[in-house]
Amino acid sequence: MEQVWIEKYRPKTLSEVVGQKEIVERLQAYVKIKSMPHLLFSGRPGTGKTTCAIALVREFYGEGWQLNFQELNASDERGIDVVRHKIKDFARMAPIGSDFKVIFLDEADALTSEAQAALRRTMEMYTRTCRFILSCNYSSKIIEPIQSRTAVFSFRPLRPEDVKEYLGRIASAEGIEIEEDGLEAIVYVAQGDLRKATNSLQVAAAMGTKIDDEAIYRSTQTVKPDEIKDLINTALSGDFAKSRKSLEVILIENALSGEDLIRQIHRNVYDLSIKERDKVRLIDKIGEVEFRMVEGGNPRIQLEALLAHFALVGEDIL
Amino acid sequence: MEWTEKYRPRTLGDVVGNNKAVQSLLSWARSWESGKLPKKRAVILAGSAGVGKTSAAHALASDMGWGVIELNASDTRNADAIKRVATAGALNQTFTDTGEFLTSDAGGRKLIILDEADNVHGNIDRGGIRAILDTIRKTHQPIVLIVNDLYELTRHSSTFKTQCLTIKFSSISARSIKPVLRRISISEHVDVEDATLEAIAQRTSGDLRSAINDLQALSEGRSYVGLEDADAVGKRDNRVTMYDAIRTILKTDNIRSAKKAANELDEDPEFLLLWLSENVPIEYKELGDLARGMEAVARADLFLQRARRTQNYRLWAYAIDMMTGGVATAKDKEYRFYNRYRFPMWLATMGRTKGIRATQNSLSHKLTTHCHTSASIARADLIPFYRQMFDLDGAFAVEQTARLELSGSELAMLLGDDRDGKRVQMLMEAAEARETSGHIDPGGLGLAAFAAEEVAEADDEGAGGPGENGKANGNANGKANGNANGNGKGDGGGDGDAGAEEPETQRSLFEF
Repeated sequence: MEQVWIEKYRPKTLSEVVGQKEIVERLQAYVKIKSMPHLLFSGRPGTGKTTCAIALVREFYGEGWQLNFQELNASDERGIDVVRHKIKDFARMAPIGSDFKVIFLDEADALTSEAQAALRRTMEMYTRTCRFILSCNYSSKIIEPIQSRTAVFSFRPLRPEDVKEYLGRIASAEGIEIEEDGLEAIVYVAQGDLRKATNSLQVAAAMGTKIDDEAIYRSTQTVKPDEIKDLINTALSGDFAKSRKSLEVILIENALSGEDLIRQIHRNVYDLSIKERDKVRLIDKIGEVEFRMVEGGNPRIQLEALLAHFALVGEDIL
Repeated sequence: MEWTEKYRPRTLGDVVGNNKAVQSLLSWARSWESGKLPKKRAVILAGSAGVGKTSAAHALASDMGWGVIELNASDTRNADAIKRVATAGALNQTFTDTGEFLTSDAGGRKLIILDEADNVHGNIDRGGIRAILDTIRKTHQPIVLIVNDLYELTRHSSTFKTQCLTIKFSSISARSIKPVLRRISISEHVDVEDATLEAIAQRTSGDLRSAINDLQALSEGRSYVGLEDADAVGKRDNRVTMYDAIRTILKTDNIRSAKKAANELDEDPEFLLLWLSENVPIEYKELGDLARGMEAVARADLFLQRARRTQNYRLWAYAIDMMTGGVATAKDKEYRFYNRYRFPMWLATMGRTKGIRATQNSLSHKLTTHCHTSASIARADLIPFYRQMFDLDGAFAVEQTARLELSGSELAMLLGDDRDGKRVQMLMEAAEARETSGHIDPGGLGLAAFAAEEVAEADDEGAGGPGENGKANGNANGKANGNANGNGKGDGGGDGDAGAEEPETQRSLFEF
């Protein structure tokens, strides 16, 4: 187990890609006619954007595909510089044994709108020798002129059965056994993110014990659902100090990001034993807090305010 | 629990520094035991923050077998109560009528401790001062007044000087602070570099309390603290004023006073906000006050972030209004009691990550390239994943170290160790050996001895993993071999599946 499974088992051909059936079929059509427009892949992390791009390029070029492929990350370097230099340098060189080469720009939505405008000009300038595959989490963050010049593909979070199929492949190749509740636990923590699913399986396998739900919860940064439930209930019961302590444990020791945590809090509200209308009241507040975090608010400060709010309204709700 | 509380001296003998002051305090206390009331019925303990004034007062009471009544002098409404307690005869001391704040045992002598008697917050009115003086004249119980600034107290009335014994506490030298820090770190089982203790002792400039707070902030949740970690806790020239600002904001219900406290504080608003978020819950006990207070903090945070994002720093004005006036007016109730505010623990945690940011970047760049992901995914998903795998699986660690050409500091980050740590060194050597020989050899570099011990330990705990192979057993000594065989797990060795390829010795290499 010396390799990283997300790489070891990354599908090499489009037909191996799990889920995203419609997308795969359209991409295979490009391979057939040996031509493609600029593409925009949008979708949450771990849904197969990079995998599809690489598989597509492999099928286009076969051996030596790397010569005509450049992977760039918009959030790595500083915004517009990527477009100005790296992309141009690569786009300028002639393709090898093909009509065009492919640039895969990950997290294109991290570019400012000025950088995107510059990118648009570059795309047009080199359109004869170079195709772009832009990848983003939200296509709405990509400027209109780019959207209209690309074929847009929306990657959906993978369905539980797709996740299970893929994990099954890995398990049989590695000769490991996954318990049924372990499989369910991976599906729960991964939330349609195949990268997360694969990583937690590899960690659980490395722990060398039975791969059951316990092992999976230990293997992921995700907190057990019970811990989140306790956090919410402690706050609602009015014990702010204690809930704040648990929050700290979750954020620091479990290294869960604020946005991950708020989503898990949201998911847990449905199961609380309180009135349906009160659930909606809580969700309204939770949504506000997530919005504030997206806006750049300090996750801990915002979450503490949420817990204090829970402590207050808990008096009427419980 | 806060270490400043946990390690507060229980007897005067344990008070650090200020030996002369402690001696005078003790002889004053003995004068109370002579049978008649002493001439000076109150002492003023004067000195800057964190030098042990309060600790000495409490230790004194405990040494003398006295009860303690601790009051904040600025609570003028308590003046009557204080007076009643102080002037009550030794025979009829019951405090039921004064209620909640009386922590004393019933009966016996009570040491009355008046904290913040220098009235730095200006909350004591003339009547309050007069009441305190009157109490000192008539008291049948020993009184200790604690002040940071003696002049602030005595300028109200010269009577303080004539009626009270003044004892000055001076700053604690770094030389005296360091052994205290050393002792605490040992009993907390934290391994702290000598130079780090030195650095903390030096820069807390005579304030033992903040030195201990710094040590705790740095040590929280870790077993080792290196010198670079000490940078996480900065100089605190403004510490006293920060406490003051927090107190003013939490005690007042006036927007202007709250704003003034923030304006006079020469601190970044983000820093003040962290302090507030730490301390609002300490002060506001009513849930409605708490929720409104924390919401004001959260709103202030949003304005700060908006200002930063849009570069429109005019928005700071709203952020400051929310964190001062917003927090101040959040309370319906007046909180009259004295609270100990504390340094935001979270800050130290954040500070620690700052020092290692460069390594994080270089590491995430390597993972990004290897795993075809963005930098944000590398930070959020891959680094935690690699951390776990490096802990669990030695073969994985060696292979990835070689393949990604990980540096010492990158390994240290993944392992949570020191850069010169044993595991980092072993991994570097093993990775190099793999480069030259083309395969992983856990035995060639003295790893086997560790590995063998670890297998033995793992087995004792019944925590053995699946399988063993010939190579691992060949390299490990006989003891390991025997233990590995003794694992007897269902998915154990020799059945030829992929899991069984893992050398057990490698895996457990990282479990110490």
